[in-house]
Amino acid sequence: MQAKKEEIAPSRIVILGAGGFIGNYLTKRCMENKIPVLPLTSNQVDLTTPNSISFLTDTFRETDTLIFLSALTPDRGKGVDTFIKNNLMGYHVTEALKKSRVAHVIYLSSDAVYSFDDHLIDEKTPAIPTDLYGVMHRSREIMLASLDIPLLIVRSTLVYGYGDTHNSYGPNRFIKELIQTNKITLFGKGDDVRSHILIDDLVSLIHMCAVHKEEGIINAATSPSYPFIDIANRIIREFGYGEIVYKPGANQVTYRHFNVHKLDSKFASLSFTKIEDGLKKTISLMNNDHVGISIAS
Amino acid sequence: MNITCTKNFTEIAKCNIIYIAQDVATDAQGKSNIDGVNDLIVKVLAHINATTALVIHNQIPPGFTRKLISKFNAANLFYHVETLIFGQALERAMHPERIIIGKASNNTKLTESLQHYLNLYDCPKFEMVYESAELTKIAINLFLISQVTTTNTLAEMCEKIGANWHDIIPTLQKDKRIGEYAYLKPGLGLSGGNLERDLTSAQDLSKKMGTFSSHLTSQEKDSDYRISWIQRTIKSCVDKPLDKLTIGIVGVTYKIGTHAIKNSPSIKIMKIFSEVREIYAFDPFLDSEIINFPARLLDKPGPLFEICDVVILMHQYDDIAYKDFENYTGIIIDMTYQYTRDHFKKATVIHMGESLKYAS
Repeated sequence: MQAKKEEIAPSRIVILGAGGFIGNYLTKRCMENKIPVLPLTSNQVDLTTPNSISFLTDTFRETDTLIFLSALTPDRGKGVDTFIKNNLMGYHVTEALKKSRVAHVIYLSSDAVYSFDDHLIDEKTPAIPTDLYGVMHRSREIMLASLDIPLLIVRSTLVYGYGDTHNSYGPNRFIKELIQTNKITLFGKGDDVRSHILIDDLVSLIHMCAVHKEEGIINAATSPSYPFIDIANRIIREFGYGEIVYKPGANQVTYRHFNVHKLDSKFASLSFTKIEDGLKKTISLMNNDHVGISIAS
Repeated sequence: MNITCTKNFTEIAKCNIIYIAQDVATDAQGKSNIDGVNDLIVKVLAHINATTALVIHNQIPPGFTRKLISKFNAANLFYHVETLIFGQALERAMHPERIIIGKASNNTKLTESLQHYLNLYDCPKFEMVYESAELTKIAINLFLISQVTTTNTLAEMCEKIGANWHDIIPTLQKDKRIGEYAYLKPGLGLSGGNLERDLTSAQDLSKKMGTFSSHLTSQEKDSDYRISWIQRTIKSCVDKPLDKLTIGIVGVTYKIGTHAIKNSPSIKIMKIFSEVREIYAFDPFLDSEIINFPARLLDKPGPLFEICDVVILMHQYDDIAYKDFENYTGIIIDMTYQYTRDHFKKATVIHMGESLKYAS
């Protein structure tokens, strides 16, 4: 991946999936940096329907940077139905791009494209997804790569931070659960190991990739990774109270670490928030919300 | 020698040094189960004096000993690397090549009693922190595994290109960086359990710590691949379909001179060829009356050379007069590398790593 040394602000950024957790933050970041942005949500265009092709064709401009975030995440369903819908979205976007080129596409993929057979991932690790969600992302990557349009694939690890709408297993769910019930539920012994990236940092990275017109593949992840029990204990320490309860988990513990040397060298000006600081920030904001609700009620 | 055997844990209180030396069980994938060691330590700690040296002498993963500091005085807690070789346990215990002791920190001193005991051995002694000592055994075995894997890789190349690995071996032994004791004999992958255990331990450690170790996975795959060399070789040499084939194996135990069959390559071969017509085996250290054995055990080797299409020599027994079988016309797969066409004039003798393409 060759980094363009100069920053060229995109003439316009079109965000598909602007209504989601990441889309919200990204839209705000564009506005803060005074980059013209067209945030599109499912209210404006339902990407699962064929009508979306003509809508997008009419919307895209040759000089646009398209940031494709829309996806039905596993919390919205893990079955074939969701898989088909997600792939339809990818297909419709691809068809629209064939009719109406843009200057640059950034696709937000996922580390779900990697198998757990590889515990240390870098950008050269083969993408061998083992579940439908991962297969979906890999399919979309291939669909978009088949177009002759400069493409950057950002494979993101677990994203956490204030405003997450997904409630996926990880820091956000742990904090929410602790606030509501004074406990955190872990599967197995909480030994599964994952990388975590703060939403602010992910958005900074995507923004930088847009202005530098980056192409290729980049893993949006941090190192070191942490076992979930470690994350839970940090959250409890931060709150000063709470207990961990354990539920049976999958038989095999899985490990995901990232070699982020490429990220570090390509984006030396970006500093990724350490887990303890990211958790503190998220807890503070979520706690304020909770206190606000308590006071209000 | 004054040795007392007891089941009474209270006797522990009389000891200056306690060695925890229980064997650690491994499963078929080489994964260790240290529950037994943990249970034993709990029982010992209930009776041990605070001034006694407690020495862990098991195949445990790095980090194990330091976790015990919460339960026992670090100044008296040590790890002694176990370097026994299967079949030479007593010899290696009485005359170790070197002694490696792990301790809490570089500044920790051995207890007087432990120092006195170790001074009885005339060999180099190394002291280091727990983690270094715990990793030493794994390190030794990983280097050996690298030799095994590289040897097998090159031996296979030799077969394909017309080279002879056994001509190359002496030249490697003469290279000081490789040495005369290097593992250079091609084989059917890792066996015995210890190398597999440490390969698994290293992989587990790497997964937890996030270190690069793809080559360890390759070594595991390489080992699985090598056992199938026998299959490929036999298939390429015999005209009969496998279900009409009779195979004989000389040498069944994991190591010659022992009775152990756990992790024996011969047993693996028997399982691979479970669909053949018949498998016969001979091993002077095994009782031919063993039941539920995956082969018919014979009490002498002769019949193998009368009825088997293929005879696999896994161990070298000097008291077997192979001269008696020199007219055998089948296929001999010689994993001992001791026999040639000079011994078996009418048989096809095959060695791993050998190509006959340009032999004459």
